[in-house]
Amino acid sequence: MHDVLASAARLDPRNPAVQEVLGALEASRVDRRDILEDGIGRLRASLRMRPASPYGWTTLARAKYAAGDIGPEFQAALVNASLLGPNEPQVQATVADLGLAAWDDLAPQARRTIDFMVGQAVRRDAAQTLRLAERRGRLDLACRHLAGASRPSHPTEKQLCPTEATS
Amino acid sequence: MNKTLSVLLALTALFFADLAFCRAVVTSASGTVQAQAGTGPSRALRLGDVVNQGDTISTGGGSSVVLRFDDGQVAALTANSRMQISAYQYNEPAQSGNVLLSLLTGGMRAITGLIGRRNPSQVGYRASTATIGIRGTDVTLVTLQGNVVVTVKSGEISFTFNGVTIIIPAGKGVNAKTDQAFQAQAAEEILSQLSPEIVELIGGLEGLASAIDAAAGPAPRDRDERRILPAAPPGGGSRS
Repeated sequence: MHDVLASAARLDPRNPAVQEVLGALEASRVDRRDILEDGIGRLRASLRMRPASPYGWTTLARAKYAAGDIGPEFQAALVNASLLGPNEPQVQATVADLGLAAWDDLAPQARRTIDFMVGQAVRRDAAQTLRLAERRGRLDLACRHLAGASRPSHPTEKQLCPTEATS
Repeated sequence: MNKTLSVLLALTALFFADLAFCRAVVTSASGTVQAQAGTGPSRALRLGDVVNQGDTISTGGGSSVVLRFDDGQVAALTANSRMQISAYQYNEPAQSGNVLLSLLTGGMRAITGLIGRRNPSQVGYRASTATIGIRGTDVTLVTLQGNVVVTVKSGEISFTFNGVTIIIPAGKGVNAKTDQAFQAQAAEEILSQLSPEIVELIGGLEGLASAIDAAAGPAPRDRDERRILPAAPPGGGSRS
């Protein structure tokens, strides 16, 4: 798959989708620093051509996290993805997952954005988001978005957030 | 072209979605815990992160980590330890796979999961030059400067060191040194012989008992058990 995509990238270097897919593929090679860095470079190039893609920003954030770098570029990628795709389910889930994982090391602005996206994700699929938050040890940050909900609670909500879930 | 790219994007998303079965999740981490795969960069491990076959997990001073594998296998590392997941493959539908964990230095407690219960010969641990085969086991391993200390909490292990293999049952252990013969002894007897550094490593593992119990909690069920047991009531999980 890599060789086919690399050929496509050579034939059409201005195609952001090709760069993004190839970059994501290369960035999945966490066992090879050089390939991983090449992948991150391609993801950046793709985003220069298509900066309004929330999925492109989440892919860059995942790649940076996989590379062990949760600095400004990682955090900016999460914020950009959130601003561009606040209602995209996969963006919500990815931002919530990575944001809760790195919560202790996030800058205040990034925390506000992650908190907003966790709220979005809880409203869309509370049970799945609560399980994700539980895995990350951050149930408190997700449960508080249940407070005041007017709908009946799912059993998972009552189990994981007994205080906040409505009956 | 766009349709093809959409398919490729979806496939690529799978790479990142941690959907593969062959993995372990960090269920407890404190202090400095890192993972490295091959020549890739070291990455800090956080609660909920995933590690895979080939990853080497390391802990710094005053640090610890507990991993739960897909089949319910648990591995806990105490401070100043390094362990490589030399092999981990698990086919959930077939309920088969293999596990090989290599403790390079430090202390590890390991509790077998579904693979070990159904096919113990497919689970093994290494510590320095020692090889440990298991038979439904909860075992503690420490290796430091070539010495290997193993105690068995439940089940039984085969212990191979310097070409000699002995069987160690629950409640017993071994203190193997590169220049001496070794034999199975009562675990308490072994603990009284150890250096302060090794005692500290074992103490660190004992401090992880509640995190290990939590990780080992609701293990994946055998297919036979799935058929027999009624469905759990909503919200009736056993996790505390």
